[in-house]
Amino acid sequence: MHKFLSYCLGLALLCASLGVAPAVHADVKNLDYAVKELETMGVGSNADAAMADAEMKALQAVVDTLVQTDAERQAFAKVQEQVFAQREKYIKRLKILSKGSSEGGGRYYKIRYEVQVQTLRSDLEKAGIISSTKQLSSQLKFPTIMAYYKDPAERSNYAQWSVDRINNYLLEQQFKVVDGKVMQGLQKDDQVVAQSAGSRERLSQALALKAKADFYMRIEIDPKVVGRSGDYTYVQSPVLVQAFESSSGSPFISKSYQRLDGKGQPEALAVKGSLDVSAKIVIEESVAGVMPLIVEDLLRHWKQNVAQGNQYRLVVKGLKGSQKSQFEAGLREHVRDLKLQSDGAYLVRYSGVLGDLADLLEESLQAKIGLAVQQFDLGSAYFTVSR
Amino acid sequence: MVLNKRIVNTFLAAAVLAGTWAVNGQAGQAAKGIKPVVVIEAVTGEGTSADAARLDAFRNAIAQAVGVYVQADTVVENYVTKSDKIRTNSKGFIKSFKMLNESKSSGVVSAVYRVEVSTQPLQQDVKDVVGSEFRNVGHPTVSVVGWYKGRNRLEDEVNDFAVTAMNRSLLKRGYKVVDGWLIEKLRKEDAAIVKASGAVQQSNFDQVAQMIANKLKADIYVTTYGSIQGGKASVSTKMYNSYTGQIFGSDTGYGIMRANSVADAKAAVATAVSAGMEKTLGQVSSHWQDVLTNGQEYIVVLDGYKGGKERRVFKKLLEDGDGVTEVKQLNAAGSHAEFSVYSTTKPVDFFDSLIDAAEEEGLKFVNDEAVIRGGRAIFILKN
Repeated sequence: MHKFLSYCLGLALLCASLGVAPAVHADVKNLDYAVKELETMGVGSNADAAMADAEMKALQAVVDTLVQTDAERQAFAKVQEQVFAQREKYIKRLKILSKGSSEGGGRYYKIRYEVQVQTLRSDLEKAGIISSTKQLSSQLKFPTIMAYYKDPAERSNYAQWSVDRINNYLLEQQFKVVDGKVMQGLQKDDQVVAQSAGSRERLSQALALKAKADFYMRIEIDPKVVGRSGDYTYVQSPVLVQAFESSSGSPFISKSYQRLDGKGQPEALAVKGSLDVSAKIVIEESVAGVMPLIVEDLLRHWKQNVAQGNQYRLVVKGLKGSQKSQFEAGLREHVRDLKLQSDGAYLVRYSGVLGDLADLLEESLQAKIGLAVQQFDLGSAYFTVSR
Repeated sequence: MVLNKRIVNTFLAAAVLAGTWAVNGQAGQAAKGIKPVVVIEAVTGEGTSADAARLDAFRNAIAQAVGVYVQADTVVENYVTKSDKIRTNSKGFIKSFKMLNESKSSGVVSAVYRVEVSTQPLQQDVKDVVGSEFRNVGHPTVSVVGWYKGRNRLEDEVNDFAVTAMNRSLLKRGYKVVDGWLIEKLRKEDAAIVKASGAVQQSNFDQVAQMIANKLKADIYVTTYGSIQGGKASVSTKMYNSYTGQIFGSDTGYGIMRANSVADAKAAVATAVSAGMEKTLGQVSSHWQDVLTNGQEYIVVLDGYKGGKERRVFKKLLEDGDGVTEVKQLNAAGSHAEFSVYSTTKPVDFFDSLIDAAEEEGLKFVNDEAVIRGGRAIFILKN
């Protein structure tokens, strides 16, 4: 925190003589995720046709984030015409950014719109096109997400503000979350987790598995002071978010976000007040900006994850000759995917908890090859063979 | 703590178990029928006179009593707003009352009462006014604990104000709210809580809040942290399940101070609180519906088993338990295994019947008991 403040002050002094970057004034905000701003370019034989085209494209862009699976797309196709016909319900024109004649003699318009995402989502839910997040949560057993800032061991104000803001957003979207105190408690008291300390990657996955999180998410924010004028400090804050599947530790989202102005240039936040207060606003604004971009990917991956099952690692000691083929045949009866690793461990996909899979294998293979469960935890199960 | 026939050693967390009692106690109690009286141990009323404060306390007590039996927040709110009897003659619903505390500040009288509310006339009036019957289950008990170590007096006042605003909103919707006076009393008089309160930081004061909630048998606890800085007020609210400590809701609301006075600070806090209130209350309601439908999570530990067969028998017993909706094996190593169990049954009954069923399968536990430690029920097999 102190490092950041010194950094801000230093950069502010350096940048004071430079021109101030394009900026929007930011203040503490009670966030509204119900709307989304976006820009589209429309073309047509005349101005009206070009503007209608731009509107359709803006609406389509938001529809694409809501309608995700093949089944949803097929259902939407049946009502698409009707939804687009009443697009004025969802779309508000904010500003014409540029316009002109196209080479073929028609017209083009580049326009910034505000789209009522929540209203559109709600109408699509009511029409049965998409499942509400709540319905989805219920169908898919309420996935839990563990979020942390840079490193799960970090305890700075940055970490607290970021994680709180992410959790606020996720809870509002019906996800379950892991509170910071749970992460702290596990790092302090859990011996299995303690063994993973020292490696950020291993510790993150171990914490997520212990906290029964389906996914975990890392956020990094890199605020840069780009100017100062009067009471205001101008700050750009690129954000990087990565999301990982807890069972495998595999990343499935990696997104960076930087607020842009009408010309596509990085836009700075003009923040007022003490630097301490400003830092909080910058962090919270950045999180608020990136989360709506993440949540659609999160939902998509979640649906896929449920379909393909969690990844687990199985280690069998003392497997010899024909026992190996018997074990693999028995395993294939229960799992969706099976890969043999170079260290002899099996990576499998299974739609259920690891303990149940371990029991199924022991029950079916104990008589044949003397398979016994030795232990299972943190996504890995260990077996012995006694014959 | 005694589980009917058996004794459970409560090494560290008797209060945790007590907290769960309250969750399931409501459902169990209502299943047997509507009790003639609902006791509200402490409820605060405010007014410009002692009489007005008492009547306000009665109205708040009645809202809580209705909330015990009526599930929807809106029904309670509608009833309390529309009932003429509540406005004109709320005493008709009060069986008895006792003043616990009274204070006066800036011309406002604040009084705390213990109130017994008669449910029979109330049941009829709710039916007449909003057409709703009393049902099996209602609202949970909520304990709201505000950050009590502000950097200055203004911040302390801001936090008190945020707690009061949250309590009022919960009361209006029929939640049983643990009165702030009781929380304050406990924080000053209970040795363990006094000790924990002294050393606590803003980042971990939810642990003290959980201790308070468990002691007062609240199903849900809410922490609020209000601060004023740079002409801005922010109020962060977090909601937790008292038994599991699982966070299920959080929000931060903001308000801008127009000038630099206590009144402006309070106005900014009021904006901040109301900004997040609807979202927050929606999260409480949604969580409670989830608990009623899917049950409460217990972490059950089996120790001393020999081989996977015994562990699987125990798992089957858990799955067959009354009111069990889900069992997950979390880990197993050596002779120690942990399970996550969701059950709608009271923990006392659930663990007791589990011990009986296990005995029939040839599994005997040390001292015929489960040990409750840190929110986990540990079953140690006899060799």
